[in-house]
Amino acid sequence: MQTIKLQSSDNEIFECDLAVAKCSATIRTMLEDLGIDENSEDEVVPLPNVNSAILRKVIQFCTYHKDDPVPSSTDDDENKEKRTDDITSWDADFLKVDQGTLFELILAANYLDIRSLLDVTCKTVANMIKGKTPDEIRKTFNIKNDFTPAEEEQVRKENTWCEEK
Amino acid sequence: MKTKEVMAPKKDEITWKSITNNIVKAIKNKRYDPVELLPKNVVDKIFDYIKGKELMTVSLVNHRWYNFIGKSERHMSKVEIRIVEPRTGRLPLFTMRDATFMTQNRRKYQNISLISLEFGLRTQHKLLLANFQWRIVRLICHGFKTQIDLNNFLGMIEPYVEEIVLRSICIKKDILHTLEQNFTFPRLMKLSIRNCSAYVYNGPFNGVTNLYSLNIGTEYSSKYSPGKHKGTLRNQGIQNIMLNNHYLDELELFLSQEDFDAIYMNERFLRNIRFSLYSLSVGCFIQQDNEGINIVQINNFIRFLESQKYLVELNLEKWLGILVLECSVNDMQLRGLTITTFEQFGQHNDSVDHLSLQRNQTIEHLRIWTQNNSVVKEIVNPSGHRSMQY
Repeated sequence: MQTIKLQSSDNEIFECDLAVAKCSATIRTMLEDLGIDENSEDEVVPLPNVNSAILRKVIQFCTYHKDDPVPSSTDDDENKEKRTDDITSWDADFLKVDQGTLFELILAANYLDIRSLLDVTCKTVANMIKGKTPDEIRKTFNIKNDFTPAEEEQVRKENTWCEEK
Repeated sequence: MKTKEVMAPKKDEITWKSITNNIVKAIKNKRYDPVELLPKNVVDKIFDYIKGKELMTVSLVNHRWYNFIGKSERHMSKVEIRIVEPRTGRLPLFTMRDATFMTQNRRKYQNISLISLEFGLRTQHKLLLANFQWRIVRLICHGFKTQIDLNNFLGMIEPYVEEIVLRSICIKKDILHTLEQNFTFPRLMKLSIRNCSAYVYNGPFNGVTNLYSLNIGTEYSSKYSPGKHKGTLRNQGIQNIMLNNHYLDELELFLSQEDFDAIYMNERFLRNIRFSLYSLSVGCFIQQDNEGINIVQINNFIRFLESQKYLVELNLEKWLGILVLECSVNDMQLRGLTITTFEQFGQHNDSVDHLSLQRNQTIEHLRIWTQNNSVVKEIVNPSGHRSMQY
């Protein structure tokens, strides 16, 4: 089986399946653009934006999902109902991490362009927001309220004229 | 081990570093504000999972969230401002103060629905209309004094509007054609006018040429502008709009007997139609129960129907008679057919028998409704084969 070496920002080198690494569109493009010979064993791809703890998680995720069918681009369809209740139990368990790790995973998924990981992490954050009052959301993310009571009241009033399109 | 350095992509490096630094700082402070810490494309993706109305509540978290959501056309397109007057129930009345507040905050609202039956458009409504780039505007209003009033309203929304829905627009003092209005509505694609004063059909929209969807209804229009010449003005306007828009794709026509006669008796007009429809809905409010009286109109309608070679969806409402089914539908390549209130003429069982499903093999969906909106038959035939039974 072909492997590839990935180097994290803290200089740890991970050897993983080429197929796993290719879940990342960024790595895929890098390999194609730079014409790296897939047979040479000694290539190291540096990933200066991902630390070893996160890279380990990312590789774990991609290893589990490497045989998933590639989602078609039509899934981006604007009219499609966006669901957040379809996270598989493996993914949910995988994402039982603290918020800092979750955010770092999102950044890594975004940088490495791993669609499935970005989808599921964004859904997880959306679920932390959905069905909550603004105050509950503030508590969840430890955010300070900078509205004055009068401003807040006026926005609340403004919202009464907003309906689902 | 020999390693060859590969350059990592430069993509977003600077922003990425600042983002990482932010994260480090945030982790220290245990403050994880996604809108603050995550890149815009990711926050957009997260908010895509949240529906419009809820997102408005979510925007109360803090000013950063309020601005992120409010300034985003993508997210603001999910909501519609709906102002209904007279207001009933607990909801507040829309005041000048509210309009000023909304204008100052400049959330990027794009869709508005204004229902003002008693007072017409007041200053606060006009302030709102004039200060946003409205793309979808629905208006139900009895309160225009003259055509000038209506034109002032249309002038406010002209540059950006893509879809206009007008219902029950009543112009109280209908001065006949005192002025030519040169509206172009450069982005208007969908227009719907039902039960309005005659001027609405013939005037402001005469310069529009890029519609792909048109919905015209005149069931009760005569109530809004009685008088013989008004009817002529109205149905000439309808014919103009139909002739000016060559790319029309979807057409709905629900006409009073007067307009039905005027349009379907005018063979020259019907011959000059340039558009080729995908979807057609027609209804008429024929006063006479006697089929024979409308024979010329129905024959012309059939000829019009037969000229629409690319028609895929057909909806016959307030049904136009057995003839249409006998002559046309059987030879068309329709995919969807809906027939509503079909027992208006004759025995419906006989009439439906005229529809030969053996010959209509392309039909995937057939719906037949009665007057009280209960489905008599609903047949879905995804394969388009002969298995349809009724």
